[in-house]
Amino acid sequence: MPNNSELFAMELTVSALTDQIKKTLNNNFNDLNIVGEVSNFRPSSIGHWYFTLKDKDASISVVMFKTNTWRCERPLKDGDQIVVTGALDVYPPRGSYQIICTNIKFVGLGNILAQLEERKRAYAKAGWFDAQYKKTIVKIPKKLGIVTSVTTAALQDVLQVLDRRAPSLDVIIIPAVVQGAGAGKTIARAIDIANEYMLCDQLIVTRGGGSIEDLLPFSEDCVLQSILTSKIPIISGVGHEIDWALSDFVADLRAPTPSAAAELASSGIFDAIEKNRELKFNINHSLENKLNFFKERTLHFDKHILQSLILNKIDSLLFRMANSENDIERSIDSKIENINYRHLSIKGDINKNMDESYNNTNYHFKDIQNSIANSVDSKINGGRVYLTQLKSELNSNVERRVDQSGYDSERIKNELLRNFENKISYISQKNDELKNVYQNNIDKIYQKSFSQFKLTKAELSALSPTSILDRGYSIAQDENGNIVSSINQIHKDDLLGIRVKDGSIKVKVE
Amino acid sequence: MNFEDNLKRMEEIASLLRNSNTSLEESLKLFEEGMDLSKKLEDGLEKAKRKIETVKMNNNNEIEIEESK
Repeated sequence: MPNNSELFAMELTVSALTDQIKKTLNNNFNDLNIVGEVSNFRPSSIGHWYFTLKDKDASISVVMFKTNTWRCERPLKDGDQIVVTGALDVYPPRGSYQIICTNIKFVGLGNILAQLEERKRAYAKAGWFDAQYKKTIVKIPKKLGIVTSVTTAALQDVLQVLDRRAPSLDVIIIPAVVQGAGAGKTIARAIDIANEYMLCDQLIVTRGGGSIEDLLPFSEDCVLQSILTSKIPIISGVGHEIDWALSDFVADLRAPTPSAAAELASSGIFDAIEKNRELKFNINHSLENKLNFFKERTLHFDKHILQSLILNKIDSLLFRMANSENDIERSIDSKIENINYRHLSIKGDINKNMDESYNNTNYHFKDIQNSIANSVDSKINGGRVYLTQLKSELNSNVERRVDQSGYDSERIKNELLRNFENKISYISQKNDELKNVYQNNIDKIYQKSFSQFKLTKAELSALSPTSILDRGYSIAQDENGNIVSSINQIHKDDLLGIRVKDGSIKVKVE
Repeated sequence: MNFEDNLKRMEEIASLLRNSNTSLEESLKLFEEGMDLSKKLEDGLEKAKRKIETVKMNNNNEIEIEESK
């Protein structure tokens, strides 16, 4: 081993120096007993214990390997007051020194922890932790306030959790110093500012893990006061799972870590997002079911069926139309028959009159009769043409409006019938007029012939023997009725008849 | 309407859609309303970009709010 003068004379590598330090410490600091308080106790996953041993003014790292920990009566916790047995050693890669501990002796609770416990009891007694002061955590906050140091990992943890669970939640960071002297005042001030300016509707007060001393600001009276009087609900999340601070008990909700605080603050939003997804799925699914249900129902009602229903409807309308048509035709036919009958009876009447008349008038009458027949025929034909026209008009009307009710065709039918009846009565009237005219003519001719006849008869009468009797002459006749025109024709006692104007006288020849 | 009311209405809609007495026409209306509400919720709770602000103290000891990028 080089002596001091040699060391100062040569150039040393870091390793060589570290090696020198290690040898010095190993050789001179064995079997030490060191008194101190346990802080920042970190058991490793494979069973080694790492912690800091400290008092008011100094601290030193301690490691106790797994091979020795079994000897310890119980696992350490921060604040434990202990006596550590071990040797000093250097860890060259980091250039740090530490005690390799082989045995631990407990000497009662650590002062800091003891004080904290005592204060906790006092606040509890004063009612600071009472349920009546607990405000309800906002389910879906509009803006989340975070009271923490902007430089710590805790803030990143919180934001990471929020990114995952409440990606749209607005955040306002109210920075505070979270470690060391004066830290408590900045934390209390941050909470007060959030309330004063109503910066948010939900608050997280948080910091990451550290030694019990590091967490002390969150137990300071001013912090607890601000939390208690805050109108904004507060979630406290200080240190690791095993850590605690008095803020945890005054706050409205306690979270074991910063991440857990973020999870609690975002749970309402997270649930709402989940619920929204679930309901969206349900609504989609239900509608799909509904559509399928209606689809199945419409399968039984395709367009062919609809088509045939419409065709049936049209058929029934056409049928009704045809019925109306038949009714009209029948009515027309009966009217025509009626006219024909009346026409025949008129014709018969006229014929009868004609037969009783003179031949010359008979000839004349035949002409008239024909013209009447023609006129009636042409009227009937005209009526027929008119009817056909009306019928086709009606048809086209009905065809054009198949969807209209039978009311229309009924109306048209009535109109048609009315028209037709008008025509008929017109024809009948004409007929009657004509009949009268011809009757009159026949009467006149008859009268004329009769007076002629009387005249001729008078002429004939003038030439008759009876007219001579009128002038005073008489005619003698024998019993046999022979006219006596000579004396030789008679004898005595013959009976004669003397015919005078107004009778006959019987006489005897003397 | 806030988010909780929207969720409540969506629950109503989902149950109405499950009801066989709800007509097709009504169902389609409800579906649209539901999807509309769902979109509002998605937009408000998931899609909107988070605003991150930081409170600063100026020299006059007044607060200033600064939006981080």
